[in-house]
Amino acid sequence: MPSERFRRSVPWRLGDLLVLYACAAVGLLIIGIAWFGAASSVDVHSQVRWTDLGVGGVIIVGGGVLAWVLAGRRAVGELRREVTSRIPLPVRETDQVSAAIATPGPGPDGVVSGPGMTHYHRRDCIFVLGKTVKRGTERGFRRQKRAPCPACIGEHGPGVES
Amino acid sequence: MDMKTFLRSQWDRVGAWVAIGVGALLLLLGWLGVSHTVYPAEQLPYIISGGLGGVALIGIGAMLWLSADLRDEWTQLHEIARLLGADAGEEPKASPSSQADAA
Repeated sequence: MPSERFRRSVPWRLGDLLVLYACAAVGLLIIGIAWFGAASSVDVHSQVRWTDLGVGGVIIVGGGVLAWVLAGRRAVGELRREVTSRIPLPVRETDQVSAAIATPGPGPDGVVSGPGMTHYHRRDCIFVLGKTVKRGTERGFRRQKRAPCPACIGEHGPGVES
Repeated sequence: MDMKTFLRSQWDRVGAWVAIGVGALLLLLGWLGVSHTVYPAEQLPYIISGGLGGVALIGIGAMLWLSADLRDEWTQLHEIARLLGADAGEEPKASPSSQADAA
């Protein structure tokens, strides 16, 4: 099933919009009331109280704005994570190398070596990539005084025939 | 792009500039009102209407601008998802590297 986020045309839900509208309306109304109250009085102490009320209105407006922006950022971040997880990654040569190193032993395909080489290797070893090699058995290469590759097989790695 | 199309597609950015402009104007008017009197009882209403009102409007303008940026990013992510076939409910395509890991 497609995610619910893929069906929305904007990052916000109706609830986010209602919170924003409510906070903005209430906050601006409070600022208006505070102004009206302060303008109707000549007593400074009374006006300071109205001013405090006005500051409260600004805080309410700011809280609504903050909630709106944070909700949008969260929704965009979640969609970004979901979309980027679906992007296929290209194969890099280093991935193959790390896979070869990560798997110990020569594997089921046997081992290879080439003319002039003093070691025998797995077929996917980095030291034989692109080189002309011949397939053989571990016992056969050992008879030819060739050692197992320390990178792909290990000094005393498990043999194919053992 | 004519003005009507621009206003329709960029209404939030236009609204942001309008709110910021009105907020700045309120701040200026508030400052002018406060500076023309020495009595705090006459200054405080200007501080509330001009100062607090202006700050609130500038905040709303900033919110509209950020909303426009978020909406644009949302639209672009939707376009990427459509190209990937993700919005049609398809399973995520296994990447070649993940296939290599599984092998």
